[in-house]
This record gives sequence, C-alpha cells and structure tokens, in this order.
Amino acid sequence: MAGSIQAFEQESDSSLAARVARQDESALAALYDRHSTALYSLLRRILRDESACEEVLQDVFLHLWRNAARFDQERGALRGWLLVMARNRAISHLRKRTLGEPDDVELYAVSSDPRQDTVVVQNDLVARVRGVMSQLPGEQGSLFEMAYFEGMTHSEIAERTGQPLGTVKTRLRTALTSLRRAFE
Amino acid sequence: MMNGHPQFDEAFDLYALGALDAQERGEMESHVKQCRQCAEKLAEARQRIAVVALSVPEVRPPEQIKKRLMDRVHSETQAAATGARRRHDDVAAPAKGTAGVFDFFRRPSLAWSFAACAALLAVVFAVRSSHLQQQLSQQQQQLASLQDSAAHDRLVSGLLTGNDTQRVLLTEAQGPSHPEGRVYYHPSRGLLFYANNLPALPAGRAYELWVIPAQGAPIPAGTFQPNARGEGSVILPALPSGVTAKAFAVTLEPAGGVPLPTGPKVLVGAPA
Repeated sequence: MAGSIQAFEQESDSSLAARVARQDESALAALYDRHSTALYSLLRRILRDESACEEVLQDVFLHLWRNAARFDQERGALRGWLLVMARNRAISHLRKRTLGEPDDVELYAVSSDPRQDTVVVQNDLVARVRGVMSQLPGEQGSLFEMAYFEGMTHSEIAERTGQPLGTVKTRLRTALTSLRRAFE
Repeated sequence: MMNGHPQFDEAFDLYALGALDAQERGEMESHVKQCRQCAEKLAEARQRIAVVALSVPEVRPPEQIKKRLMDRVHSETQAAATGARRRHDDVAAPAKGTAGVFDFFRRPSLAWSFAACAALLAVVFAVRSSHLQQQLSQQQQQLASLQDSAAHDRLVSGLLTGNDTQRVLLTEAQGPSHPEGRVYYHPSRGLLFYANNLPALPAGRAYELWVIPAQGAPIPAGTFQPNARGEGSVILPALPSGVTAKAFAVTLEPAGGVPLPTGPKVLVGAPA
C-alpha cells in the first residue's frame, strides 16, 4: 500500500488525469491529496464558511472526475485549471452570480510553459508572487484583494471605496503590471 | 480597445481577474474568439492569476471531505456500471425487427426509411438518458445545458425526419472504407452524428467532428471518444446558425479538441 502511494506521488498530473478519465478512483484520490490543500486554502480565504468550502471543493473534484478526458496537459497545467475552477465557483457562491470568467478547460488552454513544471520552479514562482503581493502599496493591495477574493469589478470597487473609476482602473492595472514581472 | 486588440496587455489579466465591467468583458470575449494571439495571451493571464491563489497561507482540508468526495464518486461509478449493464442487455437482445443504430450504418444500401429513423430515434433517446456513461460525457454536458428536454427531443426528431435535412455518409479518408459515419445536418436546426467501426484512440487523443463551410475555416462540431465497439456520436453540438456545409470531416486531435484541425482525417463526406 505504501509502495502504491509512493508511486502515485511520483506520477505526473497528466498521467493521473488520464487514469481519472478511465474512471480510476485511486488516481482521483491521488490528485485530491496533491491539490486539495491549495484549493481549500483559497476557498477558505474567499468563502470563510466551512460547509461552503466543502461544497465547492467537492464540486471541483467531481467536475474533474466527469471531465478529465477533456484535459490535455500539453495545453495547460492541471493545478491551474483546478484553481481557476475553485476561484470561479467560490466567487459565484459568494456573489450569487457568475464571475463572467468561464472555467472551461478549453478556454484555459495555453501552450504549456515547461519552466513551471518542476516543484522547485513552482515554489520559486509562488515565492516571487507572494513577494509581489506583500510589496504592493496599501491601496493597490486592498483593491487587488477586493477583485481577487471578492470577485468585484472596477465599478463595484469604485462604488465601495468611493474612489474615481479611473483611479481604480489605474491602480489595479499597476498591481497587475507588478504581478506580471514575477513571471518574467 | 483599439482595432479589437486590447490597448494594454494587463487587460488580459484584468479579464482573468474578473475586474472588467460587462461591456469591456464582452469586447474582450468577442475579440479573442477571432484572434488566436490574444486568446493565447488571455490563457497565459489565466495561469498567472491562478498562481496568485497559491500565495494564500495554507490550510489543510478536514479528512472527512475526502471521504465524502470519494463516497460520491464511488456511488457514481457504481450507478454508471449498473446502467451500462442494463444498456448492454438491451443491445444484446433487441426486439425482433429493430436493428441497433450502428447496424444501420453497416448497410450502405439501406434507404432512409421511416422504420430506420424510428430505430435511430429510439437509440438517440436512449443515449440522451445515459447520463453516467463515460464515453458520452461531452454530450452529457451539452444535454444538461438544455433546459427544455422536450424541445431538445423535437429538435432531434425534426432533424432526423426533415425533408430538408442533409444526410451525409462519411467514409474513411484513405484506405478501405471500414469506419463509417452519418451526419444529419440542417443549417438552422443543428447536427447529429453517429459513427461505427472507429479505431480505438491513442491515449490523450479524441476524434473531433468538423463542419466544412462553403466559405471560411472548418468549424469544430465537438469531440468524442468511441466505445469499446468503435461506436461514437455527437448530438446537437453548439454551432453557428445558418452555415451552409460543403463537407463534414472527423480528425484525430488532442483530447480537449482544437479550434482548427491539425490531425489526420479519419472520415470525410460531402452532401450529394
């Protein structure tokens, strides 16, 4: 048993997703073990409600279970797809509306960047993103968090904060320019 | 936006973030449908935005969530297996005089008779009800999105029996004609497709159906995976309305499908 768990830990997301497409429950369990903490952490940050977090987390993995055949590792990382699904569904749950950002794997597909495939590079990337996020000036950071974790649009943020729409747009765009640098 | 392209590359990140207001979002969506370069930029932005989620402090989910998830998955698997056995029994012992839909395709000289259409309808409806069947997961999604089931059935029925429906036989692009497909197509009512004798797919690949319009690029009409007997289908895929088709084709593509054909043609056919 320990050997098989170890084997799964060494197996790529792509290979596990192919097994899931063949309705292999143990492969789904392995993907859950690998990605559920990242997804659950995000859901807790957005929803702050235990039962809602569980509902969305299960929903994401059930969607994977039913649609794994449509996933193609060459066209995007599985973890990214799962995170997009989790965020979109959590915000839809929070706002009782869709984010306007579909989570279909087709639309998420992009030529894979092999630099993002190794654990070391992933960890380095996440550290750089965390660095960028922590260094955003206070106003930029809070506007970004309203958009990211509450799913608010430019206009909604302007209305809540009382800032001019143009100022909100400029500050969010500047925050995103900083974020893009972490990926260069 | 200037000439359709976003003025700033950050617009892709803003879209992925969900911060654009409705009009800007609509402009972006319209543009990326036509601009492959911008579609790629948008997909990259989605990945960037996804990684931001990993900057959140980690919290492990309670163990019982996994158990409840796996219980649900296991229940679905069991239900699907039970359904598949029932369907297999139904196919293995058909009523006298009612051939299976795929047997229908094996008789090239068979006329488009009412009886055959009725047999097709029966199978179409049986397929529509098979929500847990793995190889029809794509059709399952399409069907689930149709809120009016009766309207859907009328569409299928109308397509199969309509005098103005194009009925096109698709045969193997090269070599002896073993795999065969049938397309029922009407520019405004939609498309039905069935095939048999299809070779098993390599891992990570799918068959993709295409409508070849009289003018312009091929239009993707859905991906599918054949069952163990080499039978596959696409039912009422999302297609632009009013397109005159000069041909139909099936190609071998990556499992998620592609916007334009890249792989070898497996089946091709043109209206008479």
